[in-house]
Amino acid sequence: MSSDLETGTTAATATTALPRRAVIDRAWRELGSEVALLSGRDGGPLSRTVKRILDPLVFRLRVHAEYGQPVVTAEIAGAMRTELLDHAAILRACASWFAVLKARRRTLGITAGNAQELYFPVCFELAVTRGAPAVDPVQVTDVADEVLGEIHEGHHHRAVEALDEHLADPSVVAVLAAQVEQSWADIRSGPADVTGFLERMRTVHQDASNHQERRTRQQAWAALVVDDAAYELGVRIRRPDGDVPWSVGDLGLCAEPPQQRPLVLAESSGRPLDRSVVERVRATLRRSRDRDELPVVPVLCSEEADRACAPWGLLAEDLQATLVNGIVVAVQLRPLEGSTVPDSGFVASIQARLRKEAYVLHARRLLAADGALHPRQRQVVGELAAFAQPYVRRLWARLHGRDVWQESCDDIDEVRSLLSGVARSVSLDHRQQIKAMLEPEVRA
Amino acid sequence: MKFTVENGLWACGAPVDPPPLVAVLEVSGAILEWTVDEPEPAPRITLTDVDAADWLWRVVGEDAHVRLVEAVAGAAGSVDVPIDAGALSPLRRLALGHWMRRWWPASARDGISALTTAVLDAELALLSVAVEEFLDQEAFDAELEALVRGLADLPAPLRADPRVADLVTACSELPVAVPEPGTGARWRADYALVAGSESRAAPGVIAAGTASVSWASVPPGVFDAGEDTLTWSVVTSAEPNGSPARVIGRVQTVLADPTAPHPLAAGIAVQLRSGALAAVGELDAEGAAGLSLDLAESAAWDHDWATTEVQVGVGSGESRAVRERVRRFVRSRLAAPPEDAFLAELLAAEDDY
Repeated sequence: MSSDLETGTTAATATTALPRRAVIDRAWRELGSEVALLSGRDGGPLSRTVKRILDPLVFRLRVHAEYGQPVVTAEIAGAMRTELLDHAAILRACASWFAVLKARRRTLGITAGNAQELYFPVCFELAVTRGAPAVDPVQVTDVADEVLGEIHEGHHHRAVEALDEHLADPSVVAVLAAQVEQSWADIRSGPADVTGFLERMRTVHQDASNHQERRTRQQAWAALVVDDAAYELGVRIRRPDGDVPWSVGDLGLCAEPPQQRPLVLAESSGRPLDRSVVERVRATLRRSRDRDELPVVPVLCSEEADRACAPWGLLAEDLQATLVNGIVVAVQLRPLEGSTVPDSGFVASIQARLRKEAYVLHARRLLAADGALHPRQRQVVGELAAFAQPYVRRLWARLHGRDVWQESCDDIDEVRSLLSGVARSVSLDHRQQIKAMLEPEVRA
Repeated sequence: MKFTVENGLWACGAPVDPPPLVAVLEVSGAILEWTVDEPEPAPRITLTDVDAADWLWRVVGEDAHVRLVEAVAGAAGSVDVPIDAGALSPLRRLALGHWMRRWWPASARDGISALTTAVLDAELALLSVAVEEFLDQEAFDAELEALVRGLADLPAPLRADPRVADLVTACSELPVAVPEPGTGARWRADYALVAGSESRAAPGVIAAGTASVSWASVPPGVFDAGEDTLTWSVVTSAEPNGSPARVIGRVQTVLADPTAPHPLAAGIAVQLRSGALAAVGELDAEGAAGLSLDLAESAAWDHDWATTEVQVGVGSGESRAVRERVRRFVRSRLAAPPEDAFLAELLAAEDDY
């Protein structure tokens, strides 16, 4: 094993660290041609193979964060290779299942989405549960059709039906309404040093160049998470006279401040903190397409009633702190303005990226130097310029998902990557829309 | 080459010329830029997210990749890395293809045929898949579905071309569905060479002249990309019931396809300035506008119109010299297609009878 590593990486042995993807590429090639359908032209794994199969299912980055570092030690590299080769038979079977699904997709005339993106994880699952596709073609076709049906309509559909059934009982709605009333009343203002909290938030936005600085930053975050200030801010946004440095209206969290007690059934403005309990549950069901196990619908509804009443609409204190952290970041971002000077290295680097991405649009003749190139783009360009709203809305949705699935945000590095990832995904969204507005067939 | 922090991001390579002379590609965690008509093979690389740039070792080697990641994490001053520009040449081709999609100076007047966008897009889709290890699958430049959508509109004679047929077959192996012919939108960007209509001086014309539409000020594919295609005139309008005549600035542009209105032409801003006079308005879908000038007829005859400037779209855009440089570049490729020319370019070159 070690000889493999050394022959491939004479240059890297000096530092004993290796680029992660290079490690994966080398190990992957040992699997041979049977995984060709999951490989690129050069024999390495496709990027989608890495993202959809290897990272979540073979390396299981959620458990093994050390396998996910951009640069890994020779020791970790060895462990990754072992892990990958241990899955050789499954990966070969996975490739065979992909061939089956791809062929059935064509036969059934399914055109939605990207086959690799949609089918890779389920092919792996089939490989684990059933091994390689059986010799009996009828049996294989049946399995494939069932899986395709599930992906293209199933699952989510059934959960939504279950929700509708559950809500058809008026007593269910009445119980939820009573629960909301009680939970909302339970949330009360308390003493908290909000100003100090926001000051200290800056320390987790500083760059950390060594281990010690990173540890200090992590400790600062841990202290912010248990601080009462994020909770308190979430209470203050419910009062017309609540002392908060921003307006939840300007942030796009409510159509009109202050935040009102959520309703159970009604359709709302669509703003995160205005949403009714049922709207939130529906959003969870929509986002959980990739999940195997979904909480039972009645439990989901009852939990959501409490969550909707919690400060910032989030139960976990680390997620409340993360939302406030994100707001502090968001109000400093201006993708279309070169003169903005954010107050920390972290926010400055996000701002610099957004500026560069706006420049790409200009270089592609999709935007003028700093604004719309065509009147049709004005609205979406306006949104891009007022970045905080879409940013905070997107962040809230991510945190809501984390709250439902009980995924914590107690690691500051993870929080930082979440906060910059949200900026990226909002920017990407805007760029797609800006592009679409210049398609001649699109009507403004 | 040396990576240093510039404007808050790690970057290396010589500066590139501003649009429209720059071909840009967004890869995973970085943005690559080349000046289109310069032979320099190495791009300017700007890292937007070094952790996401998991392809760096393919270009700079594993050792330098590790050093770069460590330097960015440790906020070091600079890192020297070797760049294998050869590994990036398919990316340069992809960047150039995307550039052509937006800046190709198609003009009936200049005799530069439009590229068949469906063909170019399909080529870009295949090329994107070939370099997928560099692209962020969710990013701007990795949208296969949008790139193959145009294949639904390919005119039959083009489909019959064996090179195009091969392209369509190759696209059927992509992980996204290729639409059946004839199912797409009716609108198409490509057109045959048609001479633009010349406007003639009409009675009542006080002054007239021409101007150019700057490319960076308007969306692609709407206007003929030639120079002096815009004609303007200052005329008097006959008003009913003996009211005094109004003075109007008439502007007519030449659309990319002069035989049909273009939905995107409508709403594009027009500005006329002449000395202290200024008027603004919007083009209609035919590329024409009438601007009302706040001026009496007699004053209009006395006015010196020699310095009149007409601007279309947003901002002042690039200079005429820059546009000439782009035309030279494109003409040289059409005259002697390089080995890696796009099929869309070859088709355009063949179109130049």
